[in-house]
Formats: sequence, C-alpha cells, structure tokens
Amino acid sequence: MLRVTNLEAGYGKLRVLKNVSLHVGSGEIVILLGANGSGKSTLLKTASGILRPQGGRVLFDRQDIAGAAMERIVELGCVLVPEGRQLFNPLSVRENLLLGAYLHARRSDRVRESLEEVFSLFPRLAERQAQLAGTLSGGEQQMLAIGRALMARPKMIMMDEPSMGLAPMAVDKIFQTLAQLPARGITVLLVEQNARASLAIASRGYVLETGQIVLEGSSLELMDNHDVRRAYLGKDYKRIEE
Amino acid sequence: MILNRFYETLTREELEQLQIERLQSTLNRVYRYVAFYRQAFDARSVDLSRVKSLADLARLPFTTREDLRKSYPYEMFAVPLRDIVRIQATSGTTGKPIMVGYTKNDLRNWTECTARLLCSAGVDEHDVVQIAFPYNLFTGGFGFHQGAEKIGASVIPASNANTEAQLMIMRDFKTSVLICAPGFAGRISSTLASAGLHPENLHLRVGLFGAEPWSERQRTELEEGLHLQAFDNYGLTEVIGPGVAGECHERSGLHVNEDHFIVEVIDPRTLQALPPGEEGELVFTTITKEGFPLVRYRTGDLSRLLPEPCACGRTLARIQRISARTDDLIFFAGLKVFPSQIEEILSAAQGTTPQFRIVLDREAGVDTMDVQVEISEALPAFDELKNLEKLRDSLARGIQNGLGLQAKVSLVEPRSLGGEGKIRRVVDRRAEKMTTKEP
Repeated sequence: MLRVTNLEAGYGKLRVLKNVSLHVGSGEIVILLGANGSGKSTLLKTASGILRPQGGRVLFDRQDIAGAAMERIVELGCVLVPEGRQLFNPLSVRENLLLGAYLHARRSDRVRESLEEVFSLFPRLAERQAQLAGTLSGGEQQMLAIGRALMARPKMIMMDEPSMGLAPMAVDKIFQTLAQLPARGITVLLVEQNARASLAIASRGYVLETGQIVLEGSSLELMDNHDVRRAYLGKDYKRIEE
Repeated sequence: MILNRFYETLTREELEQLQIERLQSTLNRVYRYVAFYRQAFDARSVDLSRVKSLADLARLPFTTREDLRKSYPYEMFAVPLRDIVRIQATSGTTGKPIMVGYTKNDLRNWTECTARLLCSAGVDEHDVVQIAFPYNLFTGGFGFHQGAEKIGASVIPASNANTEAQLMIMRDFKTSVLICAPGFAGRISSTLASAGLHPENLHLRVGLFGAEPWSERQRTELEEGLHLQAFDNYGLTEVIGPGVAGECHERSGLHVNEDHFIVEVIDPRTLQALPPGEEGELVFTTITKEGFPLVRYRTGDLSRLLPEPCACGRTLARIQRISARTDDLIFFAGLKVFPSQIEEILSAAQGTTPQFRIVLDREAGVDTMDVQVEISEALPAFDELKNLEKLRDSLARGIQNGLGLQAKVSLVEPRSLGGEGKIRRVVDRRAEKMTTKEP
C-alpha cells in the first residue's frame, strides 16, 4: 500500500532522514519506533505531503506521491492524524467530524455512512456529538482526531503518537480501536514511543535511529530484540548493565 | 508443500523492496556495532546512504574466512554477548575456529529456514525424523532439530551414534526421514546388508542430505540403497548453518531463502558480479541476522544462479547444486579440512614439512582418507622400521587429535610423490566409485 524507498528529507540543510526504506502492506498495522529526534515525525510529514522530500520515492497505491500536495494524497486515500490532535476546539464533535469529510461533502449519503461508522467505532463520540471539542477529555479528543481522519474514508491512516499525554486506560481504548481498523479495510502506519501497546496490535515494525532504519521485523521479533527492550520497553536493564 | 507462502512466493518487486529495507538496516547496524565493518567501509569511503538498490551491493567490500578467523572469539558479533542465546562454530578446523552467535530472533529465523527445507521436501507432522548430524558446535544437528520440531515431526536426535545404532533406531522407531551428510548416509546404506536388513525393512521415504558436496550419482545410489527420495540442501555456519537453500520437489536447483540472505555469484578472480546463469563463487549477505551479520561473505563454493521460474510456485531464486570449490577445502566424513591443516600437523610432528598427498576414496560406501607422506632422509634413523611405524602412528594420532578425523597414514619412499611443487595435493576418487550393492 505504502512503499518508501531511499527517502531523504529534512529542514533546510539539516538532513533528518537518511536513505530510509520501508513499506506497509495492505491490511497491516506497522509501527515505527524511535527516540525523540530520530525522524519519525519527519517521515510522516513527508509521506503526507506536509514536507517535500529531498530524495527518494514514496509510492502510495502504486502512485508516486513524493512531493505531491496534501489534498491529493488525502484524495488518494492516505490520511494523517497529526501529533497533538489539532482539533477545532470551538466547534462541536459533530462539526469536527464533518470537516474531515470535506472531500465527500457533496455526497450526503456517504457522509452519513461514514459518520455512522465512526460512531460505531467510538460510541463515546456519538454520545457527545454536540459537545465542543475543546471540552473533551484527552482520550476523547484523540478518538475525535482519529474519527475525523476516518471521515475522509481513507485506505490508510498514519498516526503520530496517538498515545501521547493519555492515561493508560485511554491508551488501551485507543489501541483496541486501532486494532479493528484492518478488518474494516484500513491500513495503519503508527509512529509511537509506547512500544508495548503498539507492538501488541502491530504486525511488523521498524526502528529508526538518527534518521536511519536500524531494524525491521515482526512485532514478535522486535519485542524479543534486546535493543528495543532496553530502549522502548523499559525493562529493567540498568541493574544488569552497571 | 510451502511452509511460508507469504515470504516464499513474493513477487520479485516485493522481495526486492524487502531486501533493500533489510539490507539498509543491516548495514546501518554493522556500521554502528561491528568495528571490522566500520573500518572496512571507512577505508573504502563507502557512504551507506548511497546504497539505494541491490546493485549497490557491488560497492561494498567482501568478508572472507580469514577476516572471520582473525575476529576470534567474538569481534564480529553485532550485539553484546548477553544478548546471544547460542554459540556454534565451524567444523574441522585447527587452531581457532570461527565462532558464531545467535540471538533469540536469529534462532527463530534459523528454525524457520530449516523448517522450510523440510516442508519443501514433503516432511510433515506425521514423520519420524532421525537426525544423524553431530549435536555439538557444528550447526547441522541443532539447525535441523529446531526446524523439524517446528513442523511438529517426531524428532530423534541420533547425533553421531554409530551406523549399527542408527539402523536399530531407524528400524524400531520406523524412521521416515533421514537427515545427515551424504557420506554418512552411504555408510548406513552399506551397513544395511551386513546387519541382515533390506531397505524394505525400513520405513524411510525422504532423505535430506547436505553439509558436503555430493553428486547426482550419489543421489541415485542413496535412493536405491535406502529406498527414499533424496533432497539436497545448502548452508554454512558462518551464514547461519543449514537452511540457506534447499531443493523443492522439482529437485532442479536449491531455493535460496532470499528474504533472509541476498545471494550473489562473482568471478573469484576479478571479484566482479556475474550475470545469472554463469558459474562463479557464491557470496551471501545476511539481512535479518542480529548476532552475527555478514556482508558479502565469500563462501568458496562454486555454483550458478538459475534464473528461470520454478514449477513449484516458489519465487525464491535457485542456485545449482555446488559443483566445486574455489580452494582446496576437503569435505570428509561431515568435516571440512584444508590440506594446509594436515600440513601443519605433519610439520609439527616432524620438525620439517614433508611432501605429502591426500588420497580420498570410497570403499563399500565409506569415505576413506589416506595421507601419503614421503619419508625424509633427514630424519634420524629413518631406515629403521620400528621408528617409521612409530612415526606413522603418531602422525595418524596427531590428525585424529587435531582435526577429529580418522585418516590412514602411509609412509612412502622419498621423492616418490614427485618433485617439489609438482604434487597434486589432493586426489579425490570418491566421485568415481559406486557403492557396492547387494544383488
């Protein structure tokens, strides 16, 4: 579905991504692990059209989207759920969701269908349709951000740290929902620091380190890799090491 | 049967994407964690961020057996020793062996690789699998054991029990699959008659033979002698052990597990990559290994890539059965020996390096090694028979102790092997010999 080869990207003269290759197969949940500053968000920004790549290829559904406009990438079916959710706080839950459906705005039947789908995934959003987005809890806001992305009827959603700043219960809820997306025909690329929760639902993953992929493997393999465990699973290694 | 339909039948495009991803991440890791590779890449000013396709592999330096030998014990490991869960070593070497380490994931991938070979030879959970590879530092025993267990077969780790004991187990436990070196299978086959058994008294149906090169003729002999279907497989400890490549039911070439290993064929003289179909030296790059990753490892094995698609449905590339070596490595009784290692033992025992010749033969299906050594006039009392017998015995013992192989030593007249530098070091008559079969 998404195929990135030899991607180079950065800001001005600063090269953040150095020769990064990865792919996300149709119906997969793939996780991109990496410390702060490793280039995870830069990769999502480049794949979603926010940032122009300096080199390499990005294919989505066999079409070259490297450097394409964001709207076109969304039209093709690839939607980003940005870090920090970026909701319209003074608008209601329902209004926020409808904004996500702007591509299909002329097909009210489709919009209604999408809305029902989102509400079935997140019953909580249905209950709070009229509430202002800014008054929702962190977990609910994240649900809304995902729901809004789903309103564009994407083939794939890319998410930047959906667990950030959420209580453990809310994180569980979000990840349970994400795990259902492949069954609904939606492929997921997830950037996360919460390796434990995300590896539990992902099929494969990559580890990014200072702009380079240093590891690729199934979730099981990543969970069994000692570097991943030390860096992201917080297993008590310090005691053994020193 | 195909064990892992997803990875074994990827389109070339999908496979190459996977390979480039895994290659890039492997290169990034070895550059960070293996001093040898950091130096090797830096010395050639290799910019890893310019490795953008599989063709760019050609820009990377090779790794040789000598490099690995120098790295003893674990200079080539890419993870700390505590992340290693298994250590194995290359077989039949004097001095310092090449030690390799596996992480938990490496073991899992290795298991997958040998399980694929078993599956493609038609082995399943109903089979009783007898593994007659030694279970020690050598990778043959453990490598196949894990794969056979994964498939759910009943596994008998018969290891290096003698042929009579192997036969007894084989008969009494109705072994259906035999896994060993072809030479050892030949020995079992030739022991059958003397044990009063006919192949029909056994229940063998499949044999997976490897760890040393063998011929189509040996295949026929083993199939007739043991009433089984014989499959070739290929692997080497440095790369992972058995499981690098193996035959499917078509038995026309060995499928390389390309999602774990990138295979190249190079001209051993010019070191340039050869196009598919041309014979040259096999070179492997591991792309999933964590513990002991290798970049462009020169195997010394001669083969060629078979570019035509295989009728079995696997899209993994095939290599032809190993035809020869680029060097004088001898495969004998499941061990690998260089003539130089025998030479070391001979010169250590005598103080000087004698002229010698290694004659390999096959008698009644059993491989034999005769080390013919010229006696030297320089030796004190070389004309006394008793001293010569003593010398002969001590040489045979030295070879047994140093290399773990049983060789006959014959002392021959001075200069009878030919002049300096003209001796054919190794004479291998094994391929010409058929095993004697009971009528």
